[in-house]
Amino acid sequence: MNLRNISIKNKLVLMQVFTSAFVLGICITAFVLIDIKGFKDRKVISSIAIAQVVGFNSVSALEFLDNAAAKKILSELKVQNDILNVNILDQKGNVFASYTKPGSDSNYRFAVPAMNQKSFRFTNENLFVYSKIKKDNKTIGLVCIRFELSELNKIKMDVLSLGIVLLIVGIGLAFLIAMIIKKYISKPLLNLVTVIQKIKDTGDYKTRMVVEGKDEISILSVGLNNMLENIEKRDNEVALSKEQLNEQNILLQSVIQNMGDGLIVVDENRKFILWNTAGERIIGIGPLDIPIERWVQTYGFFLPDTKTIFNTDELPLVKALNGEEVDNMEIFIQNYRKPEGLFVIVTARPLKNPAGEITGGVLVIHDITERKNSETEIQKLNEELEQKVTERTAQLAEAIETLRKSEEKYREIVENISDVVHTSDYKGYFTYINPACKKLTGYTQDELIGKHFSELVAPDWKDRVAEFYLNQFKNKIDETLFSFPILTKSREQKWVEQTVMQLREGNRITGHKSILRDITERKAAEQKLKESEGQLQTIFNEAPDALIVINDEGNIIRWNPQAEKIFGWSLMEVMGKPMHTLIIPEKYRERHVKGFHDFLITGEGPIINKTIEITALNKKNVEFDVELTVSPATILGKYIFIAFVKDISLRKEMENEKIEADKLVHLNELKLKLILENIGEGIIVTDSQKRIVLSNHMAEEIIGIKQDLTTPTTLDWSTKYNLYYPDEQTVFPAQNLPLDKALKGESTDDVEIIIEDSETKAKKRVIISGRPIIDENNYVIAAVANIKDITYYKELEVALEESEQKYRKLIGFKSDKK
Amino acid sequence: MKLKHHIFFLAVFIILMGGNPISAQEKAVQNEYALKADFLYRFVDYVYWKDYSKKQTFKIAILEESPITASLLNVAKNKKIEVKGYKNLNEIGFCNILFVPYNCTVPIETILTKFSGKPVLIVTEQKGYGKKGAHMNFVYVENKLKFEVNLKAINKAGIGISSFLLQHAIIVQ
Repeated sequence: MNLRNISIKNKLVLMQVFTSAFVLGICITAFVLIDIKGFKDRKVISSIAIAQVVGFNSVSALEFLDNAAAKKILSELKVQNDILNVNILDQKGNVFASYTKPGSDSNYRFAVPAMNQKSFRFTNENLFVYSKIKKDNKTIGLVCIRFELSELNKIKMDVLSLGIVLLIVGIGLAFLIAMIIKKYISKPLLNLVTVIQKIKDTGDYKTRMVVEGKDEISILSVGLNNMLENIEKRDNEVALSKEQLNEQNILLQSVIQNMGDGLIVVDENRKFILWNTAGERIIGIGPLDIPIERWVQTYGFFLPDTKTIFNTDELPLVKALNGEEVDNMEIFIQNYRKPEGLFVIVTARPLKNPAGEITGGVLVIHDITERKNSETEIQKLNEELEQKVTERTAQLAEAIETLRKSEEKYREIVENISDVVHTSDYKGYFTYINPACKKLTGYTQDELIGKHFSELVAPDWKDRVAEFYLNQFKNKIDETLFSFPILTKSREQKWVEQTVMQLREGNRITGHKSILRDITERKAAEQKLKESEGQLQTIFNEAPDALIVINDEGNIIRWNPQAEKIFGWSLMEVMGKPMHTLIIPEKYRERHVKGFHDFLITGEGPIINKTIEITALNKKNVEFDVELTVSPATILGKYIFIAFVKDISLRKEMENEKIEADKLVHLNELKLKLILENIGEGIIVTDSQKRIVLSNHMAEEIIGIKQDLTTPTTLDWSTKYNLYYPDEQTVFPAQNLPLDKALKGESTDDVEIIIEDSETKAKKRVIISGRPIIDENNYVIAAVANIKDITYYKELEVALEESEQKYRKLIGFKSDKK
Repeated sequence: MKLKHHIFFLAVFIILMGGNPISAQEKAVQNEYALKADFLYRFVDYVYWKDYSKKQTFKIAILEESPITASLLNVAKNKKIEVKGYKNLNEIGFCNILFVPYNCTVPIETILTKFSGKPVLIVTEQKGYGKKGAHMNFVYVENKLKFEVNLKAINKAGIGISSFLLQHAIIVQ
């Protein structure tokens, strides 16, 4: 049996038992040996003493040849049981006297040793002791004694049996102790073994050892626990990373499968290990298990001339497998699934492991058919745009002409205005007054500027006027209308109506801008009208619109037949009743009441003297659209309000239709604008002052200008850019720019200019064309510039240059046509 | 012829052996006294004399002629012992042991009287002398040399005697 295969607990027991047995054996043996030796030594000493005593006592006997005395001495030895024979020999070696233990051999003859020999001798059964008998240093005889060693044998047997008993007891005790102690050593070890076995069987690393005590096994258990903890932790981490990896993998897979570009991966054995859906879509064929030599034929890889078939070694993926990197190579693919063929750009990279060995290749395929198509599309769009721009330019010219005409008209009005226009500071002193003042007041401009406005007011009106304007000043009312009489230089009283607008800077009133109108004649007419009330009544009744007059309490005091017709209420029904309860819709009533009261206090209202469109109620409580003008008047110092109401429900309907139509036009315009914004050419339209009236997104992108709708931007890009001829060195004079030339009436086509941003030093190569817009009088009213960024095209290779050439020709052709 | 020689020599030998009986007897006497001389010397170790120190010369005196003198002298060669023979009792001054041969002419009583009260060990070899007052007396018992001790006399003389010696002696009084 191999010792190694015995379990530790048995080993421990065995070890302890064997060790104890061995030690006990050694001890007992030593004990026996020492005991025997001690016995022998003691025996020898006592024996020699006996012999010497016998010898000493026999000296005189020997000297006086007294055998009897000697014999008597010897006979005394019978008390010593173990003495078998004693002889006293004389000088000559003859037996002088002898003693024999009864029952022993009386004729025993001693073998006399040489006198110089040891004085005792052990045999197995006997001890022989010899002692010389000396007298005056002379040996006169010898005592020989034979002892029997039965006592020694007895002692030997006793000690041996005791030893065996001790050995057995010792081994028994050792076994017992080992059995007890092994509990403390082997039990935890066995526990450890059980736990480890359990973990091995179940793979459950959550199991833990119960740690007891502080011995090596406990340390081992703690160590195992720590190890298990680490394993568990690592297990969890591994699981987590696996999960993350899996997630990443799924994500990556999803990205790869959903990306727009084709992705093909081959391993070092030229086997496809990845071929995403985009790859299959672009090439038309998925991965096939074919040798590398047949790739070109099967998938149909051609050079960009669409005719020359690829050499296998030139294929990007093959190059990548050979360790080369291929960037943006254009390839034409045509196979039985893609008979029409398509252009792609491919990028290939070798896959390397950390040691730098090539383990495969990656190919990314980008379908550029769309780009190719877009280029064609853009060409088409450009053509269309040319057309649109031409049309739009014409429209613009028309618009500008309209504007010019209205401006003329305005100027005429202003120039011929008969009203006095004046400005005053916040206290009311004139700061400016127009020449019309002379006609109204008789004073010249110079006489009035610096004077206070109240100096003109008729003395009996001064207080009222001052109070009115103080009120406006205090309440910061933007605009007021007030009628009062003034005294002219020739002391003539004239009625005027003054509109005062406050001039403000922030919250502070800095002055007033006022218009003073001579209403003397109107006043006279009013007077005349009053005088001929009957006439007025007739006019009132014959008026084409509804006329409603209310007093300062809001009650109706006039209601003409037209009003009866529109609202359905008869004059008798409405007279003296509050107007707002009758014809103002519920939703406006509150506002009306408030506005009415406000006006009585401030002399100003939001609808006063304005024509507004609002709804009104008729007798049938039906709401309908009306055009309303409310004018206040004073009769005998009291306000009355005259409301002109026109039923416009019919007109309104027509107007709505018009708005719809306008919306359509606007949408169309937006569409056009959208096209303008999305074409690849910058369009800038400026007026004769070089202000930009139209520009598109491309123009902004190329030269950084923007059409500002609120404040027109002046186009002056020569300050922002340095301009060069195409050789990038000769400075291009700004006055020769096509737009500047166009403003002088010259058309310019396709001037190539390098523009360099004076701040960033970024260069752009642009082509600019300019054309003037001329009105029927041959005046230049606007200019149009087309700007095209050709930096990208310039960088294209020869093939693209050719196409650019074509494009230029095309542009040229179009320009010629125009 | 040869046989004759043999017979001759044998005859001579027999004659020689048988023809000298006196000399044979003399030899036996010599042996007897040699033994007695040895005994005398051995007595020294077992006997204590009053006023005797070991430094002093031990004196043995022999009264009148005795073969023991020769034997004693022979033994005393190597020892510091003075052995001297005296013809007249009065010649003897101080001695430790006085040997009185069996054929001494001086009566024992005279000798005893002379040395009465003195520490002189008187040794005789005449049967009955022990009882008579000799301190020690050689006797033959069963053909074996033994000696008698008169303890009374010895004590009187002021001489001590060892028990070892006494156990071999025949105590007479």
